Amino acid sequence: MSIGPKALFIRHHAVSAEVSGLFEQFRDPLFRYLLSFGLSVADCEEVIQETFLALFRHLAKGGARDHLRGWVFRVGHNLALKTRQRQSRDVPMNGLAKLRRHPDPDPEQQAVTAQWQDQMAAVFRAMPEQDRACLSLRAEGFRYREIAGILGVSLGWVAQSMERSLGKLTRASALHEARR
Amino acid sequence: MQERDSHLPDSQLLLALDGESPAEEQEHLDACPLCRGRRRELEEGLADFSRAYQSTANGNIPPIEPARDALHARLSEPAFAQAFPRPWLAAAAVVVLAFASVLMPRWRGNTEGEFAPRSALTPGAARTLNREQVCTATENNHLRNVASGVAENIFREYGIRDPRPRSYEVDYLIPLDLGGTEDPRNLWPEPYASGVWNARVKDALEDRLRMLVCDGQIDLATAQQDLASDWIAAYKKYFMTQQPLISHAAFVKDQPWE
Repeated sequence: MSIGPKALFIRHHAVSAEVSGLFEQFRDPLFRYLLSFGLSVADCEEVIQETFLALFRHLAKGGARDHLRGWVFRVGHNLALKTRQRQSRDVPMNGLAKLRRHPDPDPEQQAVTAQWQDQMAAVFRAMPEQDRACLSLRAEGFRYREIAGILGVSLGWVAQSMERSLGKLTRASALHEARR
Repeated sequence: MQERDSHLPDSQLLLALDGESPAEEQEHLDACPLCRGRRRELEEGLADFSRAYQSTANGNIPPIEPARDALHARLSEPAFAQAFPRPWLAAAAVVVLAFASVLMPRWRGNTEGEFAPRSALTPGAARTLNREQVCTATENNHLRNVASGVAENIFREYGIRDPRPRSYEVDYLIPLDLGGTEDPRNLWPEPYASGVWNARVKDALEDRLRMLVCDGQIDLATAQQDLASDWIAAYKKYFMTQQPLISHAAFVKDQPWE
């Protein structure tokens, strides 16, 4: 059967509704990830728009509908890389700067906590980009195998990356405890 | 350190969290309290990081509403309405290929007009109806057979002797469900198998035109006029193709003559 104007309208409406639903579901998690990637808020917004427009085209062409969360993050990740390359800038990672692990009313304890936050943020910021990406994607609830698919690396590589990152965070945390 | 070397490395313990461990490593993990303890530490470290990551980043995410509106506006642009594949293009290409490779020799010499109704014999005849009358009709006009005597006359007028049953429709040029009448001037013998512009393709056009009329996209008089003047041109116009769609080769609407 051919697609007439009415059928086209119906399909356009249906796919738009599907994309809108996925936007509601995945926009904030993708935003968090892109922030951790070092993009500015404005760049995150732009990358997310482009990601979901690409998702519309993907679905309109009858693309696979399984693992769409991974699809969205993979496309978002690649668009973020392009944005970074285009701008050739290194946006500082501020993801852990405001960390509140154990909020404490005691001013002295607050200062200690703030110091711990800064230390963690510095460790995270100093990680290689792919390690940060692995850690952030895990924090978004992706399985290691999915992370490998999004970043285009092997499962073993993801495991090694996570081991490195957690090791750094743990050592920094232990150092902080020792200094106290 | 010596002791850790005999146990699973952190990378394997992390994979174990996702059930990605090989059987022998899983067996070791099940039996080793040290490795299980370390896995728990890693799990807690990850959970700590995840909480911090999410709570921190959430404070930097602007409200969703403007972004949602912007996305909807972009998706409403004409470019996105045209993002769908157009099967008629692929189908036309397939039809052309099929002609070139297999069917063309048999159909060589056929012209588009060979099976077209002759205007002197079949100019078309229609009633004066409005769209509502056509679109609210409940009778199945396409199931009504032409009387055998009338059909024989039509074959005779068109010079067809001993027509094979079920090989033709004695077709209403303007179909009854688009306001055509049973007047013999609205009838012609239309083969199923000969040529590409055959009875099944014509049926598909009739179906399409009725849908367009009832959707208000074209008026009834235009549909009738287009059918009566040149139904093949009408097909090309309304399906936006120069060749019949391959799916229409099996289109079924009207009854065959028998």
